[in-house]
Amino acid sequence: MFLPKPIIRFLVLTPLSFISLDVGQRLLDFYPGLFRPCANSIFSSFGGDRIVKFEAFDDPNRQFDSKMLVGTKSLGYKSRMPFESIRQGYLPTALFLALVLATPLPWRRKWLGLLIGLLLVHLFIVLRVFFPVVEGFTRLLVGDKPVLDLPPFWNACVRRGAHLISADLITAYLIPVLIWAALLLNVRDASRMLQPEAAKADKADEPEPSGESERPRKKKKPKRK
Amino acid sequence: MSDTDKNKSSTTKPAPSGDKTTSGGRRSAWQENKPVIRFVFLFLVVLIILQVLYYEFIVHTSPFGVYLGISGRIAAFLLGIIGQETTTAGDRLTSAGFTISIRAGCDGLQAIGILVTAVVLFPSHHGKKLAGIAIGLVLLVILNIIRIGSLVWFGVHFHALFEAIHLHIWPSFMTFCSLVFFVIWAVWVTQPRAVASAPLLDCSVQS
Repeated sequence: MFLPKPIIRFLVLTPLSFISLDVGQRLLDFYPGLFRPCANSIFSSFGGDRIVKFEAFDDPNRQFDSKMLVGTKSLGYKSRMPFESIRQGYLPTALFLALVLATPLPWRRKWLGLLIGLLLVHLFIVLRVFFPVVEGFTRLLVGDKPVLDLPPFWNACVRRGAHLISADLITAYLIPVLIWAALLLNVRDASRMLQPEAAKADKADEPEPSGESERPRKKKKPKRK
Repeated sequence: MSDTDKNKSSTTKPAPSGDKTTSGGRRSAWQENKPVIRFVFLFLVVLIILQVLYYEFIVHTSPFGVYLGISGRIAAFLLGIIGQETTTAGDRLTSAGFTISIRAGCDGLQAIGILVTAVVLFPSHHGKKLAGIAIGLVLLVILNIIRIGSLVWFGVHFHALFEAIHLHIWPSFMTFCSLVFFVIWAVWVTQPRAVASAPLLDCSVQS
């Protein structure tokens, strides 16, 4: 059993595109500088007295590129947590772009899915930042009370959400794949990709759509000699 | 009935029952995407449940610890074959002064969960689903053992690359392999059955 050519092409192009986008970012190092201002504008004020800031971080281990500071307006930034904007934001975006680039569909079909998908991926990235921020506030104590005092159930949800959505390594790659599949794949495209020969045979066997046979054909004018 | 009416009635074909079409005779984008969106939604729900079960229960059970220990021992054995002497103690592997501890997330179970969920939800024969799950499970466990061994090897010989390989390359590769196995299995289960073409016999009765 051989894989159809569209599948092989897709399975080769996707990792190649992803690796190219990853290497491009490592060489140019542009993403953290874009991520931090956007994150600061979205999360700067977290209701009431709570404040958040993302700053550059020169990690000696070169694992984290930013640090997340949480605190209150009255006390200032009291807690600092290392943060990796590449893993939280860039890699899911790059994977989604790689999947779209590799999908064997014409661009007139892909561009809308690309735009909507990028929006959804960035909503996912906002969630990946949201949970650690909230967790930071629940752990930061002022006196003996946390800055954000949640009931035990919601505390547990925040911890689990931070773990599953932000920290889990698999989630970062899986969600973009699901967004891509939901937006760019339909049953017909999936069938064409999985079994192109059968899809061609079915297309040849399909009767003409009824709408076309009803349309009166334009009579060709005879050529004048 | 006039001739034109007869023509119209002979060429107009009624739409098949259950096929919701727009007035132009083509299915809308929503109807085309609906089965995939349903699959994606169910996949997400099942996966969230599996992830919660994984982190809340599975990783705290003793069989999980046994599985990690066995994976570590097999990885150490394979490293020994290539000349990288490695000792094991529970879930820890040590080689040339470098030690790693196999923890939750480095067991391959999440990648297996992705494959199993996708196979179960994909519409196909139960037997083929079981075959896909069994083969995929074995392949992903083998891949995970290779991952553990490679992390020890890179930790000893290319320590600067260890974090990138541990946190970026292997997790993405495991997820990718899980999806590739699913795609290969989907190609297999959607293959049209080959109809044995019997030779045409001349059965004309000759009187």
